[in-house]
Amino acid sequence: MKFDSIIIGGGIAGYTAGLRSLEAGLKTAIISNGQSALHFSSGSIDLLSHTPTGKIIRNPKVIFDKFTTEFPAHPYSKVGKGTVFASLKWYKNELTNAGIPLLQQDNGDNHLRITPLGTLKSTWLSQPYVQQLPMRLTQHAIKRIVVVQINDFRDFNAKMVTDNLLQIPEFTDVEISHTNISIDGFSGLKRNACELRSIDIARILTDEDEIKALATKLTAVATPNDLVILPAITGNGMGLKILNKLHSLTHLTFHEVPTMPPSMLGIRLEETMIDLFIKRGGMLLKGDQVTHGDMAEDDGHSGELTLKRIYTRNLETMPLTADNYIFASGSFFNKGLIAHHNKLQEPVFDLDMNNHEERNTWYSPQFFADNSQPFLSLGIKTNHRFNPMLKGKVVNNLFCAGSNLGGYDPIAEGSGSGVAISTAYHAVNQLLKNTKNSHLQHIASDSLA
Amino acid sequence: MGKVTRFNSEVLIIGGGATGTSIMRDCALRGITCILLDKGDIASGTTGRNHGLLHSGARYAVTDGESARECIQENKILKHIASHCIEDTSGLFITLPEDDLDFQNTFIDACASASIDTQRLTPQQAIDLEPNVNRNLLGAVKVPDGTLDPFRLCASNVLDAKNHGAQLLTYSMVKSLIRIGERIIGAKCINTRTNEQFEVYAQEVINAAGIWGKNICHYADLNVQMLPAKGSLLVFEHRINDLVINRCRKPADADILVPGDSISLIGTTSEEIDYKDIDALKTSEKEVNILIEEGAKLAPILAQTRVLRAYAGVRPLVDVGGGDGRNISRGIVLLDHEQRDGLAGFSSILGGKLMTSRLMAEMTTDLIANKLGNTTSCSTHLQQLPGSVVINNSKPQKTVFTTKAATHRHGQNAVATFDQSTKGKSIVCECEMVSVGEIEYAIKQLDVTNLVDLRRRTRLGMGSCQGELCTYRASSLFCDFANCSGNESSKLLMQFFEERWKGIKPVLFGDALREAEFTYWLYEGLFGATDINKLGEKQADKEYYEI
Repeated sequence: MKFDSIIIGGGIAGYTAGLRSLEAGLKTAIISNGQSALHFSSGSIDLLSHTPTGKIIRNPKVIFDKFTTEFPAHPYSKVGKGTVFASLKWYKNELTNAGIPLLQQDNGDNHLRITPLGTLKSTWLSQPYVQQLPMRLTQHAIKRIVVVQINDFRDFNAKMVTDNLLQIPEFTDVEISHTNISIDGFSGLKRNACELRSIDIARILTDEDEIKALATKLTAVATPNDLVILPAITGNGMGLKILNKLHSLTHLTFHEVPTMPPSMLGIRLEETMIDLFIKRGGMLLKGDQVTHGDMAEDDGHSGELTLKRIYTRNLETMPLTADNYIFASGSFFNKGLIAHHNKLQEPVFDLDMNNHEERNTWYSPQFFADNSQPFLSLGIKTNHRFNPMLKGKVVNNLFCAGSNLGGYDPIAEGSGSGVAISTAYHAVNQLLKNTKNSHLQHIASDSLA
Repeated sequence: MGKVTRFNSEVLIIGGGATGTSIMRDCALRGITCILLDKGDIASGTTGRNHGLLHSGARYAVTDGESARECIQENKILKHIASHCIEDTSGLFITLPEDDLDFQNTFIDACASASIDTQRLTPQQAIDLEPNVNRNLLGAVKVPDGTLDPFRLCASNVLDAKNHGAQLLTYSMVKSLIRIGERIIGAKCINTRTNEQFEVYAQEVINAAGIWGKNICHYADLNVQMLPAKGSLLVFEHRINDLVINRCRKPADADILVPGDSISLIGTTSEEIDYKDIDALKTSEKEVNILIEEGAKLAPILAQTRVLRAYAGVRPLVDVGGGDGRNISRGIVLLDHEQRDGLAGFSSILGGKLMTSRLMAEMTTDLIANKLGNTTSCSTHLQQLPGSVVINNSKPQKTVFTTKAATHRHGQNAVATFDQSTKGKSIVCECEMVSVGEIEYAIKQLDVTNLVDLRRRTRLGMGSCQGELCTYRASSLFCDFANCSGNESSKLLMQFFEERWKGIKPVLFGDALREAEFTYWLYEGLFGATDINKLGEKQADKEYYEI
């Protein structure tokens, strides 16, 4: 099968690249080996919350130039300010138009979200029922917080959230309490309700009567002036419809927090992107995995390599070909990178890695270390266009995007989804430059402007 | 200054390992009142950091006949009194092409003189019994080795002792011994969790603190030389062997592969360390590599199996010669300090092994009982431990997996008391089938104060997910059953992952790294766990990046 572009990997980077590639009019395929890390993500889009040196960033745009000067090897520095912010704006519009509005602070600041542990984490775009607390936290307008415990649901602990929030100095004047609510539908189940996960509850809460009953119970414990913290237990295949309904029935201000996996907030993003990709004519090869590819010396550029074709587990001997390939295979957990006891490896093409240090440099002494875990910054070595290298030779029609890249720490910096979106968007811009079609080149230069 | 709490008892036992808890039980069964102290949890020292091998004695038969005889004797006793802690797997001593097959005869003869049953097998017979054994073996000898869960053994000793009036104080560290003239009459202690000070007075103080016993002797101005030897082991994700596999040669590094519940263990290395390092044991990358390479010679599949974690323990070797390092004993060392040093009311039980812990307790309690004028004889070799007693029930029982797993862990008697409601029966840890009811029982009855203790009692978080998802659920149960605040329970969660991290770091590659990345994404990326310790900091006081 022949495509204009093939994207290897079905996470946030892969789908961003896929959608952007379709938008450019390219015949596009995504090969996805199942569920992505979005299934345990916050569903907010982090752009840049901390510097690699641990300083807090209030407004990513304001400090961006200083940041790229100070950290020239960071993926953001290679992508460039224009493309980073254009890509985020594009992503926000795509998801918003598809029914998942992503909101941000008017002044372009990051905002703080309350986590499932009752701590605060900074992010840039959030879904509508995620309360955005200002970076200057003393300016918050919360009077009272009610944390809702769903009876028997063990993947969210309201007492933990409450007691930890009570320790935050800026909330000294806020009344914070937790309350228990039962879901009627638990009683009729054949299985033990205490073992339900968020997605099981989401299925129960697709029923109109269940939603109404829940709304009545919520109204009894909170007023519209309160912030009501709810575990994210709605939205399986329905996006935000249930929450919108719950909101219109109660007029309460909700703050949804992700639960132990699966995270409904993250699933909403993934489902929405998959739907868009298929609806717009993309070819999704789900549950398949690229095993290897054929490289050849490029005739045009001396010393460079071109990826000719790739092979997958399901299609075996029948290769897939494309003009350009985007490699968004993820990190160690996704098997985009493999750590052996004596070396790091990129398992599909055996691409050169950024780091060859001994494995005792991959970790911090403490697990929850202030300076994070070094293994999070390991990844594939790339040039300024994000082309990887094979034994030192650039592969000029393969572009890396997302968490298989090295040189940044998605968690400590709070840059994971921003890097994924912007490098994927950037990759499509780069591959358009590789094509001879002038219409497509026009799109590329547009976005680069 | 508040009043210092005082405890009184006939006997004070210092150290809650296999030896200490066995003495506790022995005393209690003889009607001697006792209090046991441990600076941490029970079985948190050397006891919980070995193979969990129920030796037949065969390993020592050639080099140390006395240890071999002690082992086989205790092996038979433990199979009777602690059946719920034991899996009677049998063991193989295999001869590989690089080993001397003639050693088999020496080995079998030595076993015979120690009264250890042996059965010589052809390579094919060995492979039929244990399909994952190295198929290049030249021969094998089958012996009555098995597995012994040290956590369960200690918990059962304590449970039985408490049923007979004994008292356990965990997280209680001895700060000094109380002395009047030439007699020790008790100990000044501190609770390491609350920093509360207290005193325990006793007619006899027993030092059963293993490698830490040197410090306890030091408090009595006595000198006992101990030579700490570190042994490292690796835990594999699933059970790759059903029989214990040993090399039929003189004991060396990484030549015992032991199955244990849902996992397998390879060990050990041996390395002398400085006494000051006994509380900060680390498994080096070199040790990990040796364990994998040597272990793969016993069962080649080991090299392809995910390593869950590494851990290390310290062998409590005693230099009975008085400090010049020439007379080191691996055997049992019982020191009556009244006789040895003229200091009454104080004895030390040192050296020995997990296998001989009951015997060590019998010897010690005999000595102490004699001093106290108690004439009741030892019955620990006859009376079954609580979990080991099988209730005969003619009615067929509807068993669920959690009940089955918990019955193995705590015995039928205990499981019968678990909460049988829907909530009580719900599963918290799916890898090891731990229910809410079992956790409630462990928190309320088995002196569990945190998630790490809970792991030792129930195996929660020991399976292939390493506590990824279940510890969050379990942490909230500490709010329900231990009156923890939400803040305290979130700190328990972090403590668990920090403790786990110690064992994962040396093997941070392959799936262990994948799992660690997932845990970090979840607990730090999604949950923001690191900030739990900084909740009191004002946002405005933090360091910002400005232009």
